[in-house]
Amino acid sequence: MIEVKNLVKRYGLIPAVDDISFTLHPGKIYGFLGPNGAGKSTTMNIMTGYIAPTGGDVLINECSILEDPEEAKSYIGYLPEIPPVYPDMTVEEYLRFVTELKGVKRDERKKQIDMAINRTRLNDYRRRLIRNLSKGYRQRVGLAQALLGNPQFIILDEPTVGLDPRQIQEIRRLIRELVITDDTVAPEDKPVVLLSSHIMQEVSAVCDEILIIAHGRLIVMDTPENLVARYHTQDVYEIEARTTEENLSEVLAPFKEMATFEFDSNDMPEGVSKLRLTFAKGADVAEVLFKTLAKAGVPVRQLRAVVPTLEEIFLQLVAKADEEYAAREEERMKEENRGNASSEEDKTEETADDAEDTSAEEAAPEEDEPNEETSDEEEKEGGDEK
Amino acid sequence: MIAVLKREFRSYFNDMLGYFIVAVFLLFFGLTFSFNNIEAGSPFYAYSLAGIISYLPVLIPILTMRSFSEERRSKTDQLLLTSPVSVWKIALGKYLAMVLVFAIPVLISCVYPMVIYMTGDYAYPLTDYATILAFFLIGASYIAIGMFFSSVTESQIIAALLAFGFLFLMSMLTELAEKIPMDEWKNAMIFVGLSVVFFLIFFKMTQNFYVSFVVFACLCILIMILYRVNPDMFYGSVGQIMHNIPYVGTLVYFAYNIFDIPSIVLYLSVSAFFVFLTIQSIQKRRYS
Repeated sequence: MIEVKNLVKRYGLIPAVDDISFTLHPGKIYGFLGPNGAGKSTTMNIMTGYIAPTGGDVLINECSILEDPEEAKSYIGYLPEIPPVYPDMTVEEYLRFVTELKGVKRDERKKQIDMAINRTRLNDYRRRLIRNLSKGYRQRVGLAQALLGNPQFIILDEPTVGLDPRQIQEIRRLIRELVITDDTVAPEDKPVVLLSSHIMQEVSAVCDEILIIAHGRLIVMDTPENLVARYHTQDVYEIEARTTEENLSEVLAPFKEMATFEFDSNDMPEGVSKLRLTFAKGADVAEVLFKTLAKAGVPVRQLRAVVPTLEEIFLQLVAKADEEYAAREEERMKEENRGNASSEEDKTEETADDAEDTSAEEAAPEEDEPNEETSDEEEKEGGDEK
Repeated sequence: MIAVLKREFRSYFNDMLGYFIVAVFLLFFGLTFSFNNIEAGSPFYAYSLAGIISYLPVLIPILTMRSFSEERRSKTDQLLLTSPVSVWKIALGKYLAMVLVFAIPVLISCVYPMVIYMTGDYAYPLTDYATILAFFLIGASYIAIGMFFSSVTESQIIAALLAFGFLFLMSMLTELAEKIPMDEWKNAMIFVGLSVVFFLIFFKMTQNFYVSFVVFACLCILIMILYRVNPDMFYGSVGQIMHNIPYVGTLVYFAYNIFDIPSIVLYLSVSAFFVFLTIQSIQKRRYS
């Protein structure tokens, strides 16, 4: 079991991780999801003991990463964002080095290296120099490295970045295989996998539970099914019909009281109208809608119930987090301005710069198109890091 | 620790660098030996070695520059620092690997005193071997210094330049001491200058202007009071202090057939101190 308790990491004044707490239970795959720069890598780096937190603690099998780092680290296999491989070694040499580093017993080393190589399908590359391997294969070597020493906790930072679709499939299959163990393993000793990604699909395809973070805060932690259920608060139907908007709203007049109407016919072909009907949850009116339209002789091109995808939920949550973050920043700015009003001139320059930053941040959540928003988000975060 | 040592040592000979270092040292040893001992016929190999010591500030940084910088740049330090091995074992493993690389040419050079002993009319093999040991320990302490500078930056070049500058100044300390003016006022001013440097470092580390300024002001006032009370204290004081940190110069004692234990202790403690600083510098980066 991994317990993350009130983790905080600040770079200067900027919080990269802002009071995150969660617990990971054995036998499950967890997905760490968030836009770029949300603090995923930082959190993982703290959990694995690469960097130290400003505050809080991580307990791995009740062993603190701060107080007893060596024991805590021995339970973990970690694949960082960039696979930590030495280009001047062959795959086998490198893996041997890692087993030595992790203190695997001499007679176990060969067995473990063979296991890791088999699992990551590196058999034909054993004697190749890592320098000569492609990005995808380096990623596999990095993954093989994380599996050595039979760690109970496997932490993977964006394991599928830079791989081709077939390799992605393979890595996902491999990750799923990791948690399937024979029944001889006690339930509390079953492996845990935590992987990060900024792609919802990936996480929902592999993970049992999803942790979404943005601006260094944990927004939500739940199973994909529960997430959908939780954010599926309205029944939405989309109707495309070959008629005018006026006619359509006339025909559907009986529903006026139950639903909100929203026309969006701009992108439709000539003479076709598109209507979005939003009902309260559990309305289940699809058949009634169809009958009504058929009775009125309206040629329906499409009638569809819109279920929110995880992707949409994710974007929605992140947008909300952006707004909250902007509000927090504004609050902070105000306080700083108040504090600075009496102090020297050079500091006001700083706040002026910062104020520009916040105005850019405020602009981001107001964009209509969610995809654009995330790309804005990325640029902004990139800028912050510099 | 052994794992890090083995990997590091092997990596020097996986590319040219290790061979290059060994070759250059052997070339220097061989050249000075053939000039001083074969052509000029001197029976003291120790003196030849004393000539080579001034090249160490150039050669050692080439050996040490990549030790931590490269790991940090290519992010392989993530593997080392997340493995169940403590930082001091990593630093010590790397340090010993570099010392081993340096030991190869030094060990080979142990042949020369034997050559003198077997072919010359006079020979002082014990003096020579003591000097080789001192030379080796000085090199080892330089390696610790180079490793420290490699741990503070991601750039190999900057690491090499910092180490070179530091080692060069250090080996010139005795010569520089003679160039420092003797009069009281100038010496006091040098101490004030040092306080400014101290203030800047303190401010950089604590980010607290007022506290560091107060400390700086106290230092300056202290210097001024001491100057008022007893200006004689400052006469030639900087030069004196520099004279009291002899380092490279002590190799000559060994060549004069004095087995100078304090120097041996000094070399070993400088090594230990900079290995310690390296560990601190890595730890500090984890916290910043």
